[in-house]
Amino acid sequence: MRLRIGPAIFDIRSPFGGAIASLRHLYRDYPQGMPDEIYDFTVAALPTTPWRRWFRPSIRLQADFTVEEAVPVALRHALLAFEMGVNMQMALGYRRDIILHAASAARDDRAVVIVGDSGSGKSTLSALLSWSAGWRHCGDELALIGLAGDYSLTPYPRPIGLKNQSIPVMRERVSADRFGPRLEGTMKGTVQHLLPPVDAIQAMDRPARPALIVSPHFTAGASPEIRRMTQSEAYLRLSVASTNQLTLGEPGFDALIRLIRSVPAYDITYGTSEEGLQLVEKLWGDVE
Amino acid sequence: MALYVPVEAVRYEKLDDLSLVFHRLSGETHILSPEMEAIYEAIPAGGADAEQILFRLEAVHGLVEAEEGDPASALCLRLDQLTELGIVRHIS
Repeated sequence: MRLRIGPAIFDIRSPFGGAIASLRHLYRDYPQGMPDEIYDFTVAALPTTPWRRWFRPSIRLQADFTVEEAVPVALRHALLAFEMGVNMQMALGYRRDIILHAASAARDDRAVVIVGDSGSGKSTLSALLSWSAGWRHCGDELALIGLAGDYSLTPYPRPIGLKNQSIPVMRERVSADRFGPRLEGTMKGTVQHLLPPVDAIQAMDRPARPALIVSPHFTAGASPEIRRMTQSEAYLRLSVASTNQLTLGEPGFDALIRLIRSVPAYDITYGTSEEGLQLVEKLWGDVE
Repeated sequence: MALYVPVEAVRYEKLDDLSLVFHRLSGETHILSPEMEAIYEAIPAGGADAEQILFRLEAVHGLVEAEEGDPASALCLRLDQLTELGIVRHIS
């Protein structure tokens, strides 16, 4: 199947028909088909060995860009394998923008970029912003920042990968038909995908200009706190968060420097979802 | 007399409390400590020997001290490190 997420078209292949059908359903609001379009990346989910197609089915990824330490995944977690494969192509192979391991959301075509390690709360915060506060979801995993012009952010709004405690937080707020299947016992615990609002997917070709950078720190019971990062701190965080800065050379370095010089960055700590939203709204009010 | 000359194929950017040197040929970004930053900035575009660089450092920062040994040999060590990074050239 062919699938477009943001600016990239993926050619996705697998002999496991059920896995492809699940993917088609999860990505039902995204452009699919496009047999005549030139695609950017190939991602294939193949049986680990020929007999593992039928006996305790397990898949391995074969794609344009892979990492050696990739481990086989049980067929019941195929959606995760596809997601890993698709993200890996963007993180390692995409060259048109600098890529940050970050979530993002836009309001009036200006964006907040949410950087943080896995588990820091960036997916949940981006889900809350789009589903509870009217922001346009632009991505929960990778933020694509332009290398020239106004250094705008290109949306890459794939389904939001909710994990563990963040799943009930969003189940309270979003109707069940926007969720993918619940995947238990993955390497990250329980994972469930949440489809962004249809409007956000339909607007995925509309760029947004970064106006605010936040690094969330969700700790249950913590008091809300805002701390401005120095430019040096912001550079070090974003530099580590970038998956392709080295590959891009000077344009990547330049884009990162311009971003941290022109956009204020903050650490935000909060103990509840509502507090997290309030902190982002407060900072947004300040930059407007 | 050995001269130290800043390499042209670099881009030097100062942030609030960090100095970065992007090396165009290697694609690597080096972060300079405040000490290295002061030394790098004291090397004129046309090059200078260690004695001249030490003089410039003292003119800007006052008396230059070294944790071990004399300031001139400590400076040469740092200049050699900048040379190894490829952001300064050493012309004999």
